[in-house]
Amino acid sequence: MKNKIKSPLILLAVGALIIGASTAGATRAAVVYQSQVERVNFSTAALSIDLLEEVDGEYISVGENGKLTFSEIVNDESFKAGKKYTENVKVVNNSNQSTGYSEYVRVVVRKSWYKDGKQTSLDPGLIKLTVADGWYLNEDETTAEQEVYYMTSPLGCGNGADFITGIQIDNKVTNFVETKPLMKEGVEIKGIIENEYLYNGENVYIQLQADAVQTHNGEDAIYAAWGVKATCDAADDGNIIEINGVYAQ
Amino acid sequence: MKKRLVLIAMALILISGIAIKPAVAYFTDTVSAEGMLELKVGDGELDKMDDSVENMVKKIAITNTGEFDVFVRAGVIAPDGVTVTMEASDGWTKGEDGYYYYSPIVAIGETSGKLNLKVDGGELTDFNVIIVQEATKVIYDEAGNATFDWNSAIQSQTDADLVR
Repeated sequence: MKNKIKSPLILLAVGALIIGASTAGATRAAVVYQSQVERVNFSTAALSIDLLEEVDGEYISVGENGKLTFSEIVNDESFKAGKKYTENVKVVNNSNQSTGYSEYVRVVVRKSWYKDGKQTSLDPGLIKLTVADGWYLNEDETTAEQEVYYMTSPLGCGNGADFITGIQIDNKVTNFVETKPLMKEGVEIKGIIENEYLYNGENVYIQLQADAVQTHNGEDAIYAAWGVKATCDAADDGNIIEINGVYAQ
Repeated sequence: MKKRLVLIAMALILISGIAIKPAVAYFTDTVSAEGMLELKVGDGELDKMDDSVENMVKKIAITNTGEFDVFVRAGVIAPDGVTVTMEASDGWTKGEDGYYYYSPIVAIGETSGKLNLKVDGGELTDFNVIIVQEATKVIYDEAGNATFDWNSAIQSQTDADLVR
């Protein structure tokens, strides 16, 4: 027995078992931790954010049903390429008033063309949103389909901030045209041509995702929640000065 | 014995290291909304011209039957010896290129104001005057202002037999 305990192989095996057991325990702890986070976020509503869209002159919450209506465009006879439409969307800190928590806010904009599925061959860059002042576009996270905007100052409890103010489809969509002979009932009509526009009948798809995180211990909170290194001018409730080492003001 | 204690101590450190990290959590929230809109891109479309003649005055109106707002203009082709002059016509002006331009946008399904053209045949008693109608879809610039490109206009024409 004495010899067995002294054996380095046995000791190694015991050590491996201990580490293995500790890993399994940590995994279980992580699951518990996740459910606690969800309970904090959604049950106690200690920190909360909402998106409001202006519809026919009145701001309504779109956070619940998750649908943007684009009322000015819908009220026009048709969605016209090149025309700049007013589309007001704001973010609101609707956290529990008793806590009075401020929050850092970012909005992830995803846009694409859609017709029987996402059209990856069409340019999402032709869908242009006008963003209000006070938002910093992080180029590191920006792609043709995605833009990530950070509000550089904390959003106070009960306060709102304009985010989108307009929407426009670039006139270049009318440049993508193919000229074809006119066909009627499968027969080519000689001498008559028609233009076939690549973007005609395509749907513009826009998704806005607003994220909020606490302002206490802001830099660590932003890094943990969003994975970006922010530099704030104060440990709590400070303004964001830099994001990933780039001046953001 | 010492080694065993060291191993146990290291295992304890490992366990606490793994356990502490998940305990660090931050208050967060997220909300999202989405929307979709269909875009129509194409050429304008014109109906047959509303064209009549009263006392040698041609009255022309252009109707937009397409799916896009358009600007419209009209051209007149008349034989030598025939003079055409514009009479009071709301919204219409004569351009330097000889075309008559209607300045308001003609929205989908709408009809332009009347273009009144006085035709004087001079010595001629029987002649043709051809009216060409053209439309080009409204293009909006960055600032949202309506512009046009007459190079991409569509057109149709009508002949009018005029007898004095």
